[in-house]
Amino acid sequence: MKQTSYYGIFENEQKFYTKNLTTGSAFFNESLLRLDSVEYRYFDPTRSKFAAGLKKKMGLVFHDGDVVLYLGASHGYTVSYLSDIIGLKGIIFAVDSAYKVFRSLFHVSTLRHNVIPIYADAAKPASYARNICAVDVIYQDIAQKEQADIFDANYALYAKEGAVGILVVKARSIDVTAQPSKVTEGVKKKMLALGYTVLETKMLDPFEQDHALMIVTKGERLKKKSSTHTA
Amino acid sequence: MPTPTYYFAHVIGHFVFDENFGVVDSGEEKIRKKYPNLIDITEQNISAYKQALVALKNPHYLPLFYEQNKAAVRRALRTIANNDNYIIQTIASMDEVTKARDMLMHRLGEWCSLFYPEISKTKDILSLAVTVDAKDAVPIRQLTAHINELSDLWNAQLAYLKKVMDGYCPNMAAVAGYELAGRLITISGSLEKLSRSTSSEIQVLGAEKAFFRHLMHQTPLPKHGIIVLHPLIKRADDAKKGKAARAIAEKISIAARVDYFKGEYIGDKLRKDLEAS
Repeated sequence: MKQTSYYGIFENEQKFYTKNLTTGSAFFNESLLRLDSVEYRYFDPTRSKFAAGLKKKMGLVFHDGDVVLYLGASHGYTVSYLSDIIGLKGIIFAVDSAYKVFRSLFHVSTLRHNVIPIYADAAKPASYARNICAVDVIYQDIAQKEQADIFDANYALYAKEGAVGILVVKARSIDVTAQPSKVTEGVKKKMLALGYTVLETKMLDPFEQDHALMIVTKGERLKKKSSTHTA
Repeated sequence: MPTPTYYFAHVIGHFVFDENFGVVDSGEEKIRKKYPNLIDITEQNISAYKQALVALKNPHYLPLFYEQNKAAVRRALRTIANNDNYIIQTIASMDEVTKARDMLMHRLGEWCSLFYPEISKTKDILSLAVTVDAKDAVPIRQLTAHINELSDLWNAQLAYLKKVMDGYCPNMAAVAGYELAGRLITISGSLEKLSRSTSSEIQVLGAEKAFFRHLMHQTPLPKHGIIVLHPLIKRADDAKKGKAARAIAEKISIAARVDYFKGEYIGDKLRKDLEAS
């Protein structure tokens, strides 16, 4: 098991792992690996677009103690790995509005004290205006046609100066008939028009069909505090 | 000396900030009264609001964020146990019971046909015992008993559904019937959403596929969605089905609004209007 250039991500036999914050507990039947009295959780790139992005060598930089706003947390699969990465000094505000998935997200948050569940609609950011604090990263994984506008509304309210945004572009949810790469290009244009700098965009195949990951920021970029990753 | 300048109400507490957004005081709502001339921070004053959020971005507050938000979620999730969802679950369950019963009935028919190739209706099962070895009739009887139990279950669920709807949406139930009214609530998600739908939306609820096909490929607009279950539409001639659907959707939309805003019972009048037209 060796540390990768990503903070908090480890590699063993070309598979990614994170250090389990809740030793002994797996949440999604993921395989646990115990080496030298440290427990690691396997991070599956076919289940998480974030892991797929790592496989694609994208500049997905998180740090110990980061505060993250996660829109569309769903069952909390990716959330649980981010929780491993940012550690107990960090916070993830996990927003979702579907009560069917919320039970499992709530379960994740019960054992992980850095995961804070917010039962609200990401499209109405004002509805949780008094529940969260300023954030370093906004991660968006929602199936909405207006995902760029929804991201912007959240960024305007909650992003700290120079905060980074990670968008999962769901081409099929935006336009079923158009080519996914064209849809992604459209979202990119939209983000540029909204005043963002698009740092990186990549399609996620073969791990995930018709999905792209886009990294954006606004204003002056944060000084690379310990950005060990060079993609 | 920092001057108390801003007041900020948040789920983790009430804060008084100085002009540089340092925390002067925090606690319960009453701390606001301790300091004169405080400016309330709202999202409208975006620059002050964002600075307040930055001030709260402190690992020190993490346990408060955690506890208070979990409590808020618990409160919100508690409201999910409501009449809308009781209706939605009951309808779904009744469909599944029907499906299960039909499947078992089919098996029972096959099984019985071993002894009576000409049998098609399971009613004749009683005569089985005469010709069949007793031990071979046992599993068939057991299966029959379970099928009967499923029928009883279905009836009990229907009775429950009626009881819930009589209290919750009596007008809808009177105009549309229990089943259709329940299915409309299922498709739209809640009585509230249904009451906010226009009657033309109600008319094609459940025909979304045909509706979007119409928008994309200019196929004919669907005449009706799930509303077709209404006996008046079922009975109507093909040429008049669209017209009937429109009239019924209109009355259902009125009924849904009356029910949602807890108006008086006008179901009988609505139904009479409908039958007259």
